[in-house]
Amino acid sequence: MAQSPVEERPQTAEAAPAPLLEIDALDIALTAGRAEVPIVRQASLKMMPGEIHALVGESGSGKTMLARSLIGLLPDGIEVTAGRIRFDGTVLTDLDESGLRARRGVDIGMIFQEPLVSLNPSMKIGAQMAEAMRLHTGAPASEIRKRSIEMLEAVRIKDPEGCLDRYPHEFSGGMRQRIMIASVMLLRPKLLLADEPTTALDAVVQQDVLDIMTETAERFGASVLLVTHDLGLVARYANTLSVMEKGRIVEAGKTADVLAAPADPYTQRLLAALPKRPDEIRPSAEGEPLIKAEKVSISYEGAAKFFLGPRREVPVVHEISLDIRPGEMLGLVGESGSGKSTLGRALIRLKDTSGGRIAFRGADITQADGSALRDLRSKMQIVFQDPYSSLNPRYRISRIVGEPLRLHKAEASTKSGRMAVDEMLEAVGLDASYGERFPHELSGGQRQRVAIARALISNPDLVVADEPVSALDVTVQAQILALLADLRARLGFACLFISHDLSVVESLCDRIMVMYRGRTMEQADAETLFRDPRHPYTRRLLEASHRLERQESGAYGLREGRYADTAEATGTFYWPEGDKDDPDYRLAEVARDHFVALHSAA
Amino acid sequence: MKTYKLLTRRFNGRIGLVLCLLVLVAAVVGILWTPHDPMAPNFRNRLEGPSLQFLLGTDAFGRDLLSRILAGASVSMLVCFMTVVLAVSCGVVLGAVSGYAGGTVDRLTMMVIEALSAFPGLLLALALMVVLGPSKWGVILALGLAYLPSVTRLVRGTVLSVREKEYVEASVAIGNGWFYTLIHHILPNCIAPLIVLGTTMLGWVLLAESALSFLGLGVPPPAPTWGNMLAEARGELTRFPWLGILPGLCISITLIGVNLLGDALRDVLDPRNRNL
Repeated sequence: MAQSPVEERPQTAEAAPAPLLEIDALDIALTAGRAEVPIVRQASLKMMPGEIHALVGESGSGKTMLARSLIGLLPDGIEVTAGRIRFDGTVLTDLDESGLRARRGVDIGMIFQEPLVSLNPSMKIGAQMAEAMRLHTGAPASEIRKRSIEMLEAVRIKDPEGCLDRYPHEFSGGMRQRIMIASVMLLRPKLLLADEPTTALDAVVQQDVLDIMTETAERFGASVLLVTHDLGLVARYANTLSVMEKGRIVEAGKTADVLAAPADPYTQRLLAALPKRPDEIRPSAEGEPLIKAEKVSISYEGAAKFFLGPRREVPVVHEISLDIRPGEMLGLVGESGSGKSTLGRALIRLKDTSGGRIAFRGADITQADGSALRDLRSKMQIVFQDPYSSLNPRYRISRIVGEPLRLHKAEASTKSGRMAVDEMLEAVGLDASYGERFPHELSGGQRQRVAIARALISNPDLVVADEPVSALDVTVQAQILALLADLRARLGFACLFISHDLSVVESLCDRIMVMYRGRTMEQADAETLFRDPRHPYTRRLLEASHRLERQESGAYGLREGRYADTAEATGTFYWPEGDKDDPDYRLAEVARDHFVALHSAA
Repeated sequence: MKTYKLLTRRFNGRIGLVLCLLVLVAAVVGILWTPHDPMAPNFRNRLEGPSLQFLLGTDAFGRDLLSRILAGASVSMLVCFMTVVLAVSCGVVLGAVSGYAGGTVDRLTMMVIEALSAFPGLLLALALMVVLGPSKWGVILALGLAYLPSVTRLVRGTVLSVREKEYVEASVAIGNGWFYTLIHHILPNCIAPLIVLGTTMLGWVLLAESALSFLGLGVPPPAPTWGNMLAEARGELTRFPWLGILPGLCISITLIGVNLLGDALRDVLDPRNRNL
């Protein structure tokens, strides 16, 4: 019953080709409990052959469930309760499990979000790729191998033959996602379901993977249903889109049309929540630096080479210098593994340094301990990335927020302590009654507000914000960023804002530092960095972040990345290689307060 | 008080509490009063069935079974609880310090623990009993040591995973000392698996104690424990099954009670389940 995947597809060039996929008034509900809980309501969607359609929505909107229902991969207890899915002439909702199985992989391929866990770590790539094809076509092994190599070439894997005999752990996340694409495309499916395929990846890698995915899909004539929360990606890659909110499709149409004139209030809200370019150039903060790091190096303890032997030191940050002035917000940008979080933690003594000096108000803190360290802690605080793991699930919110008071001020249990907690909760936009709740009763955004309250209650001079919004939905993200900006204006603390998202940093920070492999690549005030980025790494980052913004016409469009051609005049750029200390690294001031990493030997 | 209320709101909490109280009452009664002397043999009344004089009958030495069960309850409970308390308290300290401190402390502790667990638990207890000589406290010490490695490893593993949570780092960032962080932020989040292990261990210890008794190294006769009563019943089991069934039933009731109570307690102590 499964058609041979190599069969030529009839090309009907008539005026109105039949849609590849038609979802008609689909209801999906949780039926396991006593009452049915609707998850997707009356969703209708149409996709033409060769189209890239984006399904956009925030977490909990039902977008993943809608996509999964196409191949019958809904979790236990969740099922399609009404409606029809018609795919390529067959009504999928009428098929039984074996009928769906014959379609899975053959006609509809799926790419999952987490490349690190969607490949089986104990199987060689070749065997894993061959599995589906053997199952569905019964082609001989040599044929499968030949086709696998071809497909790996198509996704630009170097040495595809060698790749077949290697294991997933030998590849990076981006490479694994490419391999995943290759193995799914091997059967030439007509439709590719990509569920947040690059959310777990860095911006630069994300662009690579999506370019390859859309390219490969186009080459082999597959349509793509791209499930995502990222409007920038939608604008860049999708022809058409559907916006989902709370299980309903609230708006659908051509991407360009929707971005030009979003009709539904929810779509408008989503677009309005995108980080904006600041209206005016902020005056740079003056005065003595609050905290000043000089040539700070940090290394991790690696595994010992032999039993009870000395541990290996793995350097992650190489001789970085930075300073933050009182009330200033410094953005620290870099991809995962660049050492940005480690550096942020070292600044507030959550991580020990292996070299260099960190001065807080002029005094070295790298050796502070005992009560001096405790005093210091009240002046420097941190807000973590994941609000789900940064609050102890066993304590009530009032106790969590009030805990710093236990040490630094009055007892949290006294009346003044309780009042301070209530005030702080209100300052972060939560009702004082939230104090009686437990963390699991709060949403992600509310939890992050609690984390901010905990950081600010001791009235610190410096707050390290370690990707505080990257785990949140777009609209919540905008609220938290606004809250941070507002609190900073009111309380006047300085802030190190760590992020991988350039647009977030631009909207918030005074100065920006770009890190790559433990070194500073470029540092300048926000306006300069976005107008005149010098280092190729900074430019690559900027190009890879698809930033949507409202243009003069009122329509939303991707921001053009065109920069002055000042690269030539700057000098030979430095690119970090390996982990060792490098005497050729030099941070040169190319304009006032604009530093770029250069190679000093050249 | 609130925990108690929440506990009794659950079905398994209520049942567990009732069964545990039953055993506890039996143990207390057994210490204060028994209908007959549980230890003195009386060869005129050997292996009698239930009667008004001997409510549950008598054993091969003519001792009243009810009296022995009541008296045995206190000895068995003492041995079991003390063993579990010993293993858990030492295991928690070792595991927590080892998991939290890491480095050399961790490696040294785990080396000792691994050496301990290289011997089967019962064999280790046997060897110790040979050295210590059969006595109640000897059994407690030997079994406590035998079950120490599993507790230590469990606590260390849980601490290692909880330690990486950001709320632990947040606690340090606030300025809390390591001890406060360990007690208030790490250990409370290790309780769930510990309760499960502790209640299961109670069952193992009851059986292990009877195995020791069977080999003549347990609580020395004629003092009754449920374990050695079960062991003694072995020879007569085909003809007089109640000799084995009664202590066996007591052990089962205790285990069911403790496990139900443990499950309920684990749920109640976790704020995420409070509203269920």
